[in-house]
Amino acid sequence: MDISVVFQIAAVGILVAVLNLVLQRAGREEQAMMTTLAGLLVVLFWVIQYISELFESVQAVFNL
Amino acid sequence: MTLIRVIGVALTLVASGVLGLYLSGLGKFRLQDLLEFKKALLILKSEIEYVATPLPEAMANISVRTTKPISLIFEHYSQSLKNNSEGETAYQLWIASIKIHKQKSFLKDDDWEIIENFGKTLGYLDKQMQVDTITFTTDYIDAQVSKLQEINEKNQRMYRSLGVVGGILLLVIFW
Repeated sequence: MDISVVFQIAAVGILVAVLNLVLQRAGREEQAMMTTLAGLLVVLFWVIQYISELFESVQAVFNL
Repeated sequence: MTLIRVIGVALTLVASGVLGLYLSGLGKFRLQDLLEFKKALLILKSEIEYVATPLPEAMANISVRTTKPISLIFEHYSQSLKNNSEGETAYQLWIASIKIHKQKSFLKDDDWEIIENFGKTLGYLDKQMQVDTITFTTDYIDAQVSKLQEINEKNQRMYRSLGVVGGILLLVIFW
């Protein structure tokens, strides 16, 4: 596993938090919600292969 | 490889920053254009009330006393009124002048609708009718201006930080 993906996810988290703050200050709750959701989706897209790897190794360990 | 990366990073940051600045400026530019149009209307009102200048000359006077891009509309309108050989109405010519110079200003479609409506009564019926229409249009502009001034400050700060943070976010996502 590449460790840089962890830092990337952390950076996206920070930036989305800042965007969220800025948009909410300007009274645009809808767009703030959307950016949060978009950030979540992007991160999920990155992480999904590691999750599937985890499931596969769990299956392998317990012989399921 | 690193050089290309650095150039890409710089370009993305600059582009998103400039986009943020442009979006934050839109409200200010619209405000300026609205105020300029109001000035033009006030000049026209005085021309009608005190001097009773014919419409083409009044429009030419306005175009001299206002700044671009609003002055371009009045200049074109004055010219087309003077050279009107096809027998088109003042309203048709007004619409045509607006269409040509619409792209150069920052006004929104709502504003253009009111401005186009204003053209409907140009040169129609008596002095009082003209003055009333002008007052109606300036009232609309005043309402828009006070609304804009309220939200401009907030939006400007938002778009500026949105541009920069959005650029950095793009960089992180496509790293």
